[in-house]
Amino acid sequence: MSYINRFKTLFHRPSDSVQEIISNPSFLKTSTIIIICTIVYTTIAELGLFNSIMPHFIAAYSIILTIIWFLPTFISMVFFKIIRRKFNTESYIEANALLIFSVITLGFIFLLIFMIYSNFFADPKRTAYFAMVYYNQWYPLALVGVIGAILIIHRVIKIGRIIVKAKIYQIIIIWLLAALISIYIAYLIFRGWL
Amino acid sequence: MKLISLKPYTPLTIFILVLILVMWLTYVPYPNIIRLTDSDYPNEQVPTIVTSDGNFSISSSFEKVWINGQELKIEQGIVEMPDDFSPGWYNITLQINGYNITRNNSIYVTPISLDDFTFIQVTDVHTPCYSGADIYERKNVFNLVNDMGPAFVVDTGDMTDYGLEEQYVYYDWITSDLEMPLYKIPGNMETYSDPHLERYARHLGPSNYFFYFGKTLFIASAALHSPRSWGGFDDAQIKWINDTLSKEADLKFLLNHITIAAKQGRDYNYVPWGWKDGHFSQIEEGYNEIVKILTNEKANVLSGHWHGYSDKFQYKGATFYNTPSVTRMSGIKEGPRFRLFQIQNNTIIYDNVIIYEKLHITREYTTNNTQVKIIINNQEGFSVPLNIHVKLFPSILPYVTNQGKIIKYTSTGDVWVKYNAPIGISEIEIIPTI
Repeated sequence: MSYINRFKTLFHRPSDSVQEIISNPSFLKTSTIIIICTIVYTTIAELGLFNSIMPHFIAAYSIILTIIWFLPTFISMVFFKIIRRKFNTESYIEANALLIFSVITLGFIFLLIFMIYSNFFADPKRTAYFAMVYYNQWYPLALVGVIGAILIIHRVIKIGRIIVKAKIYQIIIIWLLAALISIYIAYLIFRGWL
Repeated sequence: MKLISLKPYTPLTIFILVLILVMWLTYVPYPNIIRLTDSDYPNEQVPTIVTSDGNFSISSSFEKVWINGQELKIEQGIVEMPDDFSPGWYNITLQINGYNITRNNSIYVTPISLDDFTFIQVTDVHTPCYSGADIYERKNVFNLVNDMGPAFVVDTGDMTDYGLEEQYVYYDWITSDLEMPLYKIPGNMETYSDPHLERYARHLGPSNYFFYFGKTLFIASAALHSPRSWGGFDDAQIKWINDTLSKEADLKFLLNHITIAAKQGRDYNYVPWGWKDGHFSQIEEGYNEIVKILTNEKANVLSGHWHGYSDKFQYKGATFYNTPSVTRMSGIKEGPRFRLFQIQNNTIIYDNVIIYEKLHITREYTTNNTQVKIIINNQEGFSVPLNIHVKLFPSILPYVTNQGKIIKYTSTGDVWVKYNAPIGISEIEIIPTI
């Protein structure tokens, strides 16, 4: 099967994507696509959020966007190795990267719609950051965040079952720990440094 | 592990390294710190406030001084103001080494007593980049500030939402009807699209300066790390603050955007390095030094930055005010807010936060403009000291009021009435004596 097949089932049958990744892992290609998407998303988001593009914020938001999928993936992988599960590291990282980033893409599409509405059609017109932070318009985005979180939980359980062959309680505990550590590190970068 | 097995991770590793490199290269630890020298005062951005029969000091390097073309006498750096100057703005011409320099709108003659005055701190205006209702609301907030008649206004930063050119243009318009001086200091938002604060300096002037109102000293000093929301003071700035804050004064204020000390850290609470000696600070470099200076001088520190948070925090003799924002904030019902101070005989006797939507001041002039009724609707929950300015038809007769006290009137019909507005609706009538 060609490489592109893993994208075809990304949204309706994620387990097929995982099977395709196990049979033919290619994190190099996948991470390159994700990196390009990250740069595109952060650039467009900065324009829609602030009506300005500055390299330091593209870099800062890219770091946050990368941490969101990479850190919990990496930390959970380390935990699974600690409990002596045997699996292909590259497949595990690629599967998580692809499936989590697909949810991030869904979130970005929603943000894009909100940014277009807010900047061009709302009355009064507002940058998306201004609308969300100062005028309480972040509820729809928060709802998308909740739906995204549920999708991600579903997907990491699938990956844990198929690639790691771990028990559900192990996956939940390890991912809970990994997510908490990652969220705190992202918080420290976002609030403690930036 | 063979090196080849790391190949799939190369793009991600390079990407993260490039991001860190970009962050490092674009980081400006201390953006464009402009400090004025003695001969830079007064100027349009840092005007000197003086009463009509008072005096002000200038650099000893100036040989002669003219205000609106009238030469005034300098004695040991002190310029005496004649009592025939009406309240308002004046140009100053200064002679240095035989050359004359004129600085427009650099002297403001205040109608307000130096011993009993009010001033207002606004912060976090976050002027947006689109025109419309958000801009008009900010304009109305500043119109209310103007109507309250403080001796001057200080804006402790984040006056724009990203430091963009159009935001400065709108901010200029929002503040354009203020009759009294407005002293400004940049916040972190100003550095977001302008990391070296060049645009800020072009529009709003220096980021470090001082001014006096009577015997009260105000120092504006920006502690910023572009493009971060944390800040710090380098050694040179610490020295400048120390030297400036040690000037003779009965009451001292430091204006700074970033929180130097607060009871809590708002959403920064879980950043361990923000906690210092039981309180929270967003100052990194120079924290110990600045706190030592502020506590030694028993200074009052005015900051903003946290929008919804409002507090007065005392620490080792220094007082730290965190004032809520003019911009609205998600989850905060009150809307635009600012802080009103009243200083009487060099003591702060009033420091309440004013909610814009709970105070209304309207003027009803008679058709021939010889009389005025001022209606004040105060729903703040406490009284509000005001110095209301009205412009009546010129009269050679003095004016009288049924409430409050007329503190100044001019032959051109300008009248200032001092009034402590109680809770509820009150009416003041000002008429010429017959």
